[in-house]
This record gives sequence, C-alpha cells and structure tokens, in this order.
Amino acid sequence: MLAGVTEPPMREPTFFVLAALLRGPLHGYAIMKRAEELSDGRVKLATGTLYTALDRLTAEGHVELVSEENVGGRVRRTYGLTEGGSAALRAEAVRMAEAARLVIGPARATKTGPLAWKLKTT
Amino acid sequence: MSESGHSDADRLERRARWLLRAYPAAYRADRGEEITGTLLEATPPGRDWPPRREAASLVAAGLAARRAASLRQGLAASLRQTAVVGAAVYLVQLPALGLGAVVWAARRGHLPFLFGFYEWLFYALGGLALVLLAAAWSGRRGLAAVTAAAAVTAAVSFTVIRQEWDLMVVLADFIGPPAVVFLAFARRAQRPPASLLWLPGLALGAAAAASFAGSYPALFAATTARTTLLSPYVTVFSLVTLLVAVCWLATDVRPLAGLVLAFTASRVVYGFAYGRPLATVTPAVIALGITASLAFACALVWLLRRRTHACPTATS
Repeated sequence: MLAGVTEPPMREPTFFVLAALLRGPLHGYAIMKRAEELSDGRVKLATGTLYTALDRLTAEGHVELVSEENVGGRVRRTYGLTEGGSAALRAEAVRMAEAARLVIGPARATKTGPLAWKLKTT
Repeated sequence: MSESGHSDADRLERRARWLLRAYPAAYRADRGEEITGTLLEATPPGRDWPPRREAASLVAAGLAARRAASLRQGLAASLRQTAVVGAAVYLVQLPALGLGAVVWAARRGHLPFLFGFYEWLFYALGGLALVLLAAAWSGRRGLAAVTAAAAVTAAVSFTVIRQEWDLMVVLADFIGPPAVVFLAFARRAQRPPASLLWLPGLALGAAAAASFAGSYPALFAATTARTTLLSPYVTVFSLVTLLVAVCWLATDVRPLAGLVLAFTASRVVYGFAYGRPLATVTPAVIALGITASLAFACALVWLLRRRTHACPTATS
C-alpha cells in the first residue's frame, strides 16, 4: 500500500457500526438496533452483513472484543471501539462534514462532533 | 410460552443453523453460536423462518468467508488440493465401473457371473480404491501407501497365478495415476475441505444413476473407442457434476480445476492404455483445451484475489 494515499470513503454500514459503538461497547444485536436508530431506520444491518463488517473491523484494529458472557447457553460477545476506530470514525465524519460544507455552506458540524450532521437533519 | 410458540422457536433455530452451513466449518466453530443468537434476536417473534433478507445476507457472508478462507491458504496449498480433488474424481471411475457392471449383469439375469474369482478381486480393488480415497483425502499418506501396496499385491499375484493381465490393466489405468498423485500431493495440514467431497461423491452418484438408467456407466466413457472430447458429458448425470463445479466458481476454482484435471488425465491414460495415444481427439484440440482451462483458472484466481480485500477474515 502506498504511504500518503488517503483511505477510500467508509461504506455506510461500516460507518454506522462504528458510530453505534461511540457510547460504549455493545453486542451484535444491540449494534444492529443502535445503527438503525442512529440512521433513522435507514441502515438496517442484516446479521450476515454485521458479522462480515465486525470481522473486517476487528482485523483492521478498529473494533475489539471487550467481553464474552453466556446468555441462555449461548456465547454473547461484546465489541467496543478502539482508539484507531475512534480516529477513523472521526476522520470520516470530518470528511463528510467538509463535503457537506461544499453544498450547505459553513456549518458548525465539525465543532459539534461526528453526529452533528445527523442532529441537523432531525 | 405456548406449545406452538416453543416448537416455532425450535424450528427457527434449526433453520438458522442450517443456513449457517454456508460458512466454513472452522469459522462456524468459532462464531456459529454467536451469529445464531443474533439472528434469532433479529427475527420477529412467531416466525419459524428467518426473514428472507437475513437468510440471503447470511448465505452471501458465508460464501464470502469460504472464498476468503480458500484464498488465505495460498496458491501452493490450493494447487495441492486441486490435485487431490482431481485424482479423487479420477479414482471413482473404478467403483463406478464395477457398480455399472454389477447392475448390467443383474438386469440380464447373469447373477452367477457376479461371484467369480475375478469379480471378487475386482470388487476388492474397487473397495481398496475407496479406502485409498478416504486415506488421501484425510491426508494419511501412510495408510494411502499401504492401500496402494495392497492393490499392487492383489493385481500382481492374480497375474502370476492366472497368467492374465486384466487386473494389471485395472491397476495401471485406474488406481496407479491417482495413487501417485495422492502420495505426491496429499498433506494432512492442507487436506481439502470436507465440503469438496461432494465432487467425487457426485461423480460417483452420476455414474451410478447413469448405470441404473440403462446407459453404460463409464464416467469418462474411457472404455469405448469412438468417443470425442465431450461425449462423456453428454449423459445428463455427468453434466450435473460439471454444472455444479461451474456454479461453485462463485467461491472456489478448485472443483472445476479438479474436474478438468481428472478428465484430461483419463483421456491421456486411456489413449496410451489402448495403444492409440490421443487417437480419438487430435493433440491440437487437447493442447487447446488444456491451455484454455489453465488460462481460465488463472484469470479466475486473479479475479478472486482482487476481491479478497473486500472479504472478511475469520477471527481465530
């Protein structure tokens, strides 16, 4: 991989998986629910998509396994954001805010945090 | 919870586990329970089937994980497995021929012919072929060597005692080439996944079905003189094997590559065994076929390699 080349834009499901973990670690189904909430029901992750994304994000070091517990005889794993994951999410939010500014004009999006654009639309 | 609600939940869970079979076994052992749990939570209560969207995403993710797993092991291991798969498909010709002969004789009421000395030896060789296949598939090269040695001993002693060459021909044509490939390429650490066993299984099943349907059971039509390159696949049943191998290209090149390998090898061996090397197909056609299939396989490997970046890597 070439140094200095910027990362390609994050895909929307990936973005919302990371955003779902902003407030703290969650388990699989909770991530799906939270991503749906945050996107006003637009991003409905299917189970297969969620675990494909989690596998990739874990391999990239953006997400980590936080705890494992046994619920009703079944293992339930909780995932959390790593520092690298937070940084990637923030970078993506800044990128989107800059792109938005091109169209909507100067906004306070970058000052109020990564989810500001979402708050603006609701 | 009501009785029916309980059985719905059971059925849903059984179906969820069935869908999870799209994932490789190693992945399933690690994440299967967790994914099942999430899928059950994501399914609205009262349903006994996961929503179609969930099912489709699970199968797609499972196939992607399979593709990633088969690419992660590297080219050398893939080539070894392709050789083992191809040799296995080649080897099942022998049990298929034996089965076909038994069905043929039974239909015509020639039952006594089925229990002669020669026939018993033939069945023994067919059985040894299956043991050899199992040994090689699981990477037990020691057992494969012992089985191959037993087949050689049987064929040689028959030749010495009866002064007939029939079993030596069977040995040289059907058991020898795959046994050599197995001994050279089978590795315990790099054995083909159990899911690829369907290919020799399907080839054997296709030959069995063809023999019950009344046509001659030769899997590759290797024993008839007037064959062309495609004639073995004219029987519908063999076409099914080919079709499944082509569909499997979505995640894996190995089945089709193995089939092409087995087919080409059977043509070459048949040609030499009957003193008409490649007589039925011109060398140009064979060379073209081999080149085209290799080019096709390389293109696919390249294509799939490019797509690995988008594939999940199983956590171990």
